[in-house]
Amino acid sequence: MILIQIALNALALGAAYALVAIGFVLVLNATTAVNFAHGEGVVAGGFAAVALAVILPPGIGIPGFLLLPGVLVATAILGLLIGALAYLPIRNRPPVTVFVTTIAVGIIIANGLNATFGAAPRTAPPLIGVGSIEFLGASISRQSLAIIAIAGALITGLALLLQRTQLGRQFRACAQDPEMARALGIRLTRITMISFALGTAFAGAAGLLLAHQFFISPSDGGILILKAYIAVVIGGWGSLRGATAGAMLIAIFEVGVATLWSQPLAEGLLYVAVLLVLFVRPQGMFGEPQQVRA
Amino acid sequence: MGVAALELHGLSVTHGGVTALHDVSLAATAGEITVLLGANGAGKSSLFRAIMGLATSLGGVLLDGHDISRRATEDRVRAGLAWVPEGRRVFPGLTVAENLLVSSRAGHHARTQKLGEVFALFPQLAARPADRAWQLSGGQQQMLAIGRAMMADPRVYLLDEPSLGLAPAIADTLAGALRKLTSGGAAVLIGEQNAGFAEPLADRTILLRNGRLVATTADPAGDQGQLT
Amino acid sequence: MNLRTTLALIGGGALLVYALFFASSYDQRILTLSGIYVILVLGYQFIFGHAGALSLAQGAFFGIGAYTTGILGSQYGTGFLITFPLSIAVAAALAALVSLPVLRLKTHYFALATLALSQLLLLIAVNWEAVTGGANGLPGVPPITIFGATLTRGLPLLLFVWAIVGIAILLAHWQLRGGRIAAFTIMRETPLAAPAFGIDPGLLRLRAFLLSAAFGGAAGALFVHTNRVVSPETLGFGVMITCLTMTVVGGRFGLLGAVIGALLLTHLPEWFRGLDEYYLVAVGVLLLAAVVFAPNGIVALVLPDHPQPKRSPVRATRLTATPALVQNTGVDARGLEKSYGGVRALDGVDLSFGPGDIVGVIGPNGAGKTTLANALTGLTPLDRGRVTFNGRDITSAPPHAIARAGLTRTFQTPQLPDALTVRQVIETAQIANGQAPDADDALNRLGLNAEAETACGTLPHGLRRRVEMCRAIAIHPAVLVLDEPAAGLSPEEQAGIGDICKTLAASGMGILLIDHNIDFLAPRATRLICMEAGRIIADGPPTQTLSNPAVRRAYFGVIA
Repeated sequence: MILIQIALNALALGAAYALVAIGFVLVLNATTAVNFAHGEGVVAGGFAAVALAVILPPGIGIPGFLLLPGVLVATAILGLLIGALAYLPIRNRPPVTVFVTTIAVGIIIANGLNATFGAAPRTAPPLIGVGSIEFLGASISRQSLAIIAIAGALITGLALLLQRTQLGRQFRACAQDPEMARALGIRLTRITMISFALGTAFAGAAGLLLAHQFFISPSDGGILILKAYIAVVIGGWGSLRGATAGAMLIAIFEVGVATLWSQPLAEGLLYVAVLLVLFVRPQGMFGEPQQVRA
Repeated sequence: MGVAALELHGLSVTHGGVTALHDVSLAATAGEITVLLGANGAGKSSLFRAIMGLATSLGGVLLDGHDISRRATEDRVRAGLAWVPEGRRVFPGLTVAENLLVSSRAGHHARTQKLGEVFALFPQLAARPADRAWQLSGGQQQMLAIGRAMMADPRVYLLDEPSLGLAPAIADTLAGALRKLTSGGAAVLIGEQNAGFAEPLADRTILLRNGRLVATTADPAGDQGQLT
Repeated sequence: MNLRTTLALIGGGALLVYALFFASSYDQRILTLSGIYVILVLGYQFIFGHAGALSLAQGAFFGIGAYTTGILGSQYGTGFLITFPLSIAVAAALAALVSLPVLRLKTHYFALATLALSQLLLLIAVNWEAVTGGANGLPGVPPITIFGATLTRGLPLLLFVWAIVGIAILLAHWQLRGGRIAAFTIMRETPLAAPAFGIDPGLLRLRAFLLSAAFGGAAGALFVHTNRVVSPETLGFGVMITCLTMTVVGGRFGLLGAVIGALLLTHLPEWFRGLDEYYLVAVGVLLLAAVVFAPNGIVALVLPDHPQPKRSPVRATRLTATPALVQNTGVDARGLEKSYGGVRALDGVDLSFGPGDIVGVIGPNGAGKTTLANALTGLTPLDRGRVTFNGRDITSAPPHAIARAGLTRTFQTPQLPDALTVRQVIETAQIANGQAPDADDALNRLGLNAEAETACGTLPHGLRRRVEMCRAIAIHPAVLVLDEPAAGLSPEEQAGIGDICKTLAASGMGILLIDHNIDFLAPRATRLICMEAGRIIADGPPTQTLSNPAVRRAYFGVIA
């Protein structure tokens, strides 16, 4: 059944997109500004996977998911670098400045990767091997199942971190009222840098998950950040749940329209859709959650 | 005279071209409640924000004799200041328990213990630990804000108009809780425009008017005319 | 002639000599591209610099201008005299089409909308092969031919492009004259107060957006005449990045910045040739460094701007003949209601006052005083109720229109842009209200003659309050709403403001005075109103209101 096939494929793609969107929102809530280098975080994750896979002995068929810890660490460090270069020097300036500095850092990363790896698309090893499984008359690849599982595990882990730990509470407090958080002794800058690390790590994980099926090249960052941006606008600016929902919607839309018609049409309709959303509801689809501004 | 836990020397605040505070000097004694009485616009909030480091100011702020006037807000708080701002500013999306826990800098065990102490003082909060803060009434939010300040065992409490918008009965309950804050030896500085609420609590009353101190006295009765 | 103009002329002369005698044909091509980018950046300065909006569509306007000329030129042989204006028109039309919904978006949505628009156009260009030639584009774009004369590559094309640059500079200058730069500054730095000045922010932003599009389209058209081919590259994000970098590095404002930025970044590939594929990394580093260390651009860094203010001849203090205030029936507000969330800020407020009145408004925090001021001046839309001013219903009028009609206000914190002088602030308000800029009268009244040429950012406390009052009265309003004018002032300064209020009321102005300070209000007000919880609980002569028991309870707490 083609509908089930679309749904399954969309679920896998949506899971990966959700990681990107969630990472985007983490940094957004910390800086109240868009991190334009976020897409490069995904690309960096994909290339980290490519690089690490080369290091591992070939011929044994290492399942790609073993690369996850390495990818997470590498992109978390990248996130700290992005924060240090694009946020720390200008943190007392109006938030719009972060838009421009992250554009600059994004250029540096994208072209750095280009110079190091070349412009050709690369692929990462499959996560748990090739092949597919029959399900309700449709076939779902092992890769897709692995993507869903890994994304699900990471998102669950983040939810636990945010809900059950002191660090998570500090994150949420800083997002809701940064000045009051400082007035309770919370080190706002530290929390922001951790957000950069965590957010970029999530992007990197998405890169690992997407790189096998969709290939990865240094110039992919732009389209990825655009999708995350759209997901967050649709789902509700600053909301993690909204970002996940928005990511899923984009994936369903993309897979659905692409399967039934064409890829360019899917992309074009997505842009038209987001423009319509913004025209009709300039405050965003679900408005913005309460935040006390300092 | 006990130990001065908080001292201000010539504190001045200018904001947006307006001098909100002129050369204010005062001391808050440990174990005592000092009330800063002043109408709207007198400069109470500016004073608290200056002590907290949230407003650019001139002059000295000493906490237990240490000069904290050049420290960042977070560091002043870690040194022992606690601020309960006007309007409470509880974290709306966090639960009652989470609001309290996030304000503690201690480890898990000490944190939980302190949580119990706050709940013992405020049974209304203990009854609904999992409710989101935005769901609470004004009085409950005020209790939560005070409880938050308590979690870090501060040396000095700064309370900005705690009775604002509260019904008299609730204000009474609050006053009872405020009296207990000094039991650990902390100094309490309360800024209020409602003399009826604040003066029974005060060990000392200071008047603030148009950004300047008017009189320092332990006898509130003689100053009634000043505010009109 | 100041330093900047002198250096600009010297530099321009040097550049001309270089182009004519020393440049190879390759160098000439680079210089031609520089000129094209100057036009692009000049346009971008309107929206990104002056209007302060992060538009990511500048590349899209460039591209659509490019494709208009490219398609018509290569497929239909249409001449330059038609394609060039058409490219500009199509770009401007696109901007006009999206402007209404897009311009009112906040920064993070505006950036996304402009980005999505750009991507959409790129997608169309790549996929609509029949018209655009798809990913390969269309070759064979003809050179510029005017009245039979063909501009060949090299010097003729170079000089022509820079002639257009000259026209563009003159055009930009023309669009920014007459206090418009100051109006943009006020819109950017004190957005709250801009309508009170009489400035229509929506119109200003639209003007900036349309200009940015028109300049972008022109640049795109010239670009494809230079390259003789149009491809999706003209719509790619690369152009946008280049434009952004040039603007940030050269300077967000100022024609010299646009030129320097464009020249610098078109020559960088040559100078960084040794870096090979790391060249673009260097561009990113340059952009980051510029934002962090030279946020106003290198021109501002190297040649700090010390504008020579016009020194007006010192005039003797003349007794100002107050313009006879047209018979104004004043303000009549009925049944005003406004809720925020669950809070009733205004709960059925009726208020009437007019020329000669000084109405004081007191009340505890949260009583609704500022909401009332906002409602009367159009800053806050009402849930219910009607506001009539001089017989005209202004309930849903935009705030700048209300100001222009003669009802203006001051703010709790004086809203003055740091960089403008006192005189500039006054004159901008007057220009925005369609009046001749003549600040001396108003400056006299408020005793600000000595500070006329001082930048607002350096003024001490009490003077800022006075400047804002001066701005408000300079447009000869019939009604003035003052929000805490005495806050933080010394007793002498308060007396000064109080006297000014009395004089203004005596000359026919109606004044609504919101303040906490009874000592300030009581002697000056002809009427005193007390608000509590969104309602007016007392309205009468000051002594009567102050002795009202409900007022004493609400305002003074439990003291009396």
